[in-house]
Amino acid sequence: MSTPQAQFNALVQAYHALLYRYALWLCGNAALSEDLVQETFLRAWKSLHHLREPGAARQWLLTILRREFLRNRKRHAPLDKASRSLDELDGDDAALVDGRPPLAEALADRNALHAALMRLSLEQREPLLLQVLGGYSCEEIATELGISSGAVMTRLSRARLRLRQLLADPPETATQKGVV
Amino acid sequence: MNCLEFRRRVAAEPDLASDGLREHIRHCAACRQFRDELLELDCRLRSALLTPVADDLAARILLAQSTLSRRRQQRRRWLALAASVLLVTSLAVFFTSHETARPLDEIVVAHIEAEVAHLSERRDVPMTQLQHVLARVGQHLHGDIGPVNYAGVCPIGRHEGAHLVVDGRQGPVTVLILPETRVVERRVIERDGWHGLILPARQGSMAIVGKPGEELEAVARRILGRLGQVS
Repeated sequence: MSTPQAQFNALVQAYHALLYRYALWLCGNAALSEDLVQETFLRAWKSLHHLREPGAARQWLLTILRREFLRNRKRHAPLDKASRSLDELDGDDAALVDGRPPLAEALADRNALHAALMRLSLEQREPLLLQVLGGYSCEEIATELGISSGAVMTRLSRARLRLRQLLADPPETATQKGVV
Repeated sequence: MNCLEFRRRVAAEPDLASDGLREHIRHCAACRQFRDELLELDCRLRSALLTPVADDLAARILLAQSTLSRRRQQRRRWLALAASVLLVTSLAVFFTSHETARPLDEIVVAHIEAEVAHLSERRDVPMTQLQHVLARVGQHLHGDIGPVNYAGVCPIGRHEGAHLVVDGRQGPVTVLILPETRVVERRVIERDGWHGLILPARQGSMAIVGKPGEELEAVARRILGRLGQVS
């Protein structure tokens, strides 16, 4: 039977990279992400006895990290107004049928993808990160975020369409056209 | 399933596979392209999210945790130490108070019996000597209390007190001034043939013992008044 310290070491080794990346794409700041990950693991250490199932570790840690992030955001950052205004552009079914130019070229540009991702509102970015990075199902995301599965699907759908739109039609061009 | 429904579902979960979805893309090239594009987007996104992580991040996390653990251990040690000190102190207080828990009337009577010879002394202690004795127990007389046949400082129980023998109407009266022995209320001493009172004073207490019929309370109140110790 492993000691708590051995269990904790294994958790750190297995999940620190995932947590860091999740934090990074949530807040967009490397230093803050490292702080969030450290704080997450310290909180996990204090309540390690709550972790009964090794299979639940990833979800448990991501939940702690998410709470840390929200606490930090509440303390330090007002709502991202830019993201809010972008969010208001979503919800148009036209994006589902609108023909767009092929995305292959834009997708090859990693920086463009990063920039587009960070332009998503947190409400859209977070479920997408949980799905793509955390491997969560829609139901698991719904539980984590405390919303319905239907709302999760809507957010995910809008997130991808918005991402697709931003990649096909970068903000510089969009600004010139007066879209943003 | 129409194109709109298909695209809603695929945009939420591009790698979702169901008979309905498969059937739809078999006949709809535009939706197949839409789905392929989103799968490609997810694939690229997954790869783009795998940003490098600082090599020493895990080590720093473990260091922070071990520091926290050490602090908590130290705090636990301090708490254990504090608990031990508290326990020892409590035990000491319990045992010492147990010793003083011996009834005061028993202590008073035992002291008088141990020094019963003072009852027959007739020294007529001078005022200066009396004040000197009283000063040793932190007391001072502010007036005459009548003839005093004996005055001394004695260990009475766990503390020192002034032992006086004065004249009463029925015979010698023993007065014990006990500044460090507090009592809450007046008590009567009726023990082994001795008759007396224990009275609370502003500072500690006073015990007075005499023969039956002696007006002990009046004598005691007069002395307490001269000492400024009426409670």
